[in-house]
Amino acid sequence: MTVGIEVSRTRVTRRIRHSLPGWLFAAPWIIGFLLFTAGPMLYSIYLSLTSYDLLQPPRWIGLENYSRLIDDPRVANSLKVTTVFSVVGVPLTMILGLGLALLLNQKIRGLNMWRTLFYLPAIVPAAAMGMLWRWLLDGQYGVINYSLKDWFGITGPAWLSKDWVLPAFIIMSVWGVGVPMVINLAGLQNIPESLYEAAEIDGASGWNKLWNITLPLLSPVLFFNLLIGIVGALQSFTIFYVVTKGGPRNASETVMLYLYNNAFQFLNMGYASALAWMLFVYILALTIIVYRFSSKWVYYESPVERMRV
Amino acid sequence: MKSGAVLPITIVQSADTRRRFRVGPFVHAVLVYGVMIVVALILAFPFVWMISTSLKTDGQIIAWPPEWIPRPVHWKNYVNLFAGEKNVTISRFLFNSVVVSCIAVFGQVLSSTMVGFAFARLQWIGRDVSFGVLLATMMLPSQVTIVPVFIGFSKLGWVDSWLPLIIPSWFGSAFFIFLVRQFMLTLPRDLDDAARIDGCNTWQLFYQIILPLCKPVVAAVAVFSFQSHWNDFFNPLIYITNPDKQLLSVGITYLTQRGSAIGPVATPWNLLMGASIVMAVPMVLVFFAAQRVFVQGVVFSGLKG
Repeated sequence: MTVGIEVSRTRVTRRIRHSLPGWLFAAPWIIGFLLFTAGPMLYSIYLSLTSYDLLQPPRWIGLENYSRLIDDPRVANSLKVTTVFSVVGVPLTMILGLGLALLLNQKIRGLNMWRTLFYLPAIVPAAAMGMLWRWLLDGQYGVINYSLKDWFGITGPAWLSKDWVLPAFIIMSVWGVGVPMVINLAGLQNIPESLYEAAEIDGASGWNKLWNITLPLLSPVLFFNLLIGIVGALQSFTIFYVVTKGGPRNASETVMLYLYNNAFQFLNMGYASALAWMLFVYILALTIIVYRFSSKWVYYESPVERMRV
Repeated sequence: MKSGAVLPITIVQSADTRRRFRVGPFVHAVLVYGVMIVVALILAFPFVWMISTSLKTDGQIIAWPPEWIPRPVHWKNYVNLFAGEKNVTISRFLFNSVVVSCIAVFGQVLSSTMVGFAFARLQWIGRDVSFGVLLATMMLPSQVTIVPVFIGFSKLGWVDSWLPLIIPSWFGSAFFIFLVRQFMLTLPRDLDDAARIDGCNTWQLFYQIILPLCKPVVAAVAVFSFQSHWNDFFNPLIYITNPDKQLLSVGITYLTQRGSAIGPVATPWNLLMGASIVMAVPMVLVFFAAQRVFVQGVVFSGLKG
């Protein structure tokens, strides 16, 4: 008996000693996770149930912040702005990115040059991009409306007005097309050439190949891009802050902007925390919806099915 | 068309349809290159205007009709941005951004490789559970931590210093750790055994054996981490209020409020565009220097699902 306990005890100490280097090497992340993720998340739940302006200590107010969320017209407005921007802008950019990738996936001269050219706008920092768009869409000296008029005879709208500001942001997001394009291109190059050869023997046309081979085999990549894109777009802040700061009259105020205003302009830390949780739940919910919906069009190949194609 | 018996017929049909629907290779090429050139022109349009504006005088930027090529070319804006009056220079912001980004990138590389090493090549109690948590934090949107982390840093008295912008990256970030782990898993196990037999301790194994073999993934972490710090707008916006400590991303927006010292326009667009170019150039240089790393990284993050 005693011998057995002794043995197991030494085994435990040996396992612990054996683990020590691993713990030490993983320590930065473990500590960082507790300090910057887990701890703050718990504290954020508490904060969302209080009224706190950084000066006075937090005052417990229960669910008041959450009931205020429901009544606050700016919350509903920011949700609408964020949702429209994401569910219109992201699929639009996805489709354009797919189109460009399909073009580039043919035997094209200077593939690297084209890819670089289409990708470059996506690496310009958002703050610089925002400044540029403000100038391009300037009411008085904006060159976009001048060029539309001069080259095509179209009178452009007042882009940064209440009705046009959201379409303007959606158009701006198209300049990020390089990211989905590069990812799609890599996905396309993973599709085995033999499938196309087999389809050609069967007499498939270009459209047939696109619909029956390319798109199904690319659909997991498209789906993943869509998901990541929407989750990212729902958290948009910088370009909106730089170009309009949410104006005019909150017509382009995203949830993140309203959160920023509450936390760092009005010093409503409690209400800002409640907003953050609302956005968190909203993103999760939308992710789940997109995920559910995906089973209808995303094709996951298994080795057996690949044989059958 | 599945059955083998009708094969000859399908071949005839296919040759037929092909002749009817296929455009000639020349027309096809013209269409493809035509579309690509149009797209490239549309995408390039804003940037051409950006460069053009940055080379104009205050008078030229409001000239009507707008000029695409400024005559004469006014290089002095760039001189002003670096050596002009205090309220239009961005050299301080640029210096701050370089310093903060470099320190943060160094910390990010060190911590991510260490933790990645722990996950890939060491055995420890709780490793698999921790890895699950790590993956989960990669998926979770992060906005719920902004307010409490800000409160924490302000309690420490770190607001209006660079510490909140630098310190978190010294604790590693989930995505980079994941990248490093995946790479280190591909290195042969024999390396560890051989090193241990030669008397290496764990740190020597990490620093002298494994890390030198990880140059590609270290480059990827460095490039992406630099990009995220250089482009970061939100953190400098909420943490830094003293203009002398401000970074470039937020710093360039200050120019709009300062107005033009001399000219007739309220906003010095020429200087703003110059400053935006100064901010974009390092990213473009990094992109060209590490294009393969860059593209592969984007692809990896996009295809991993």
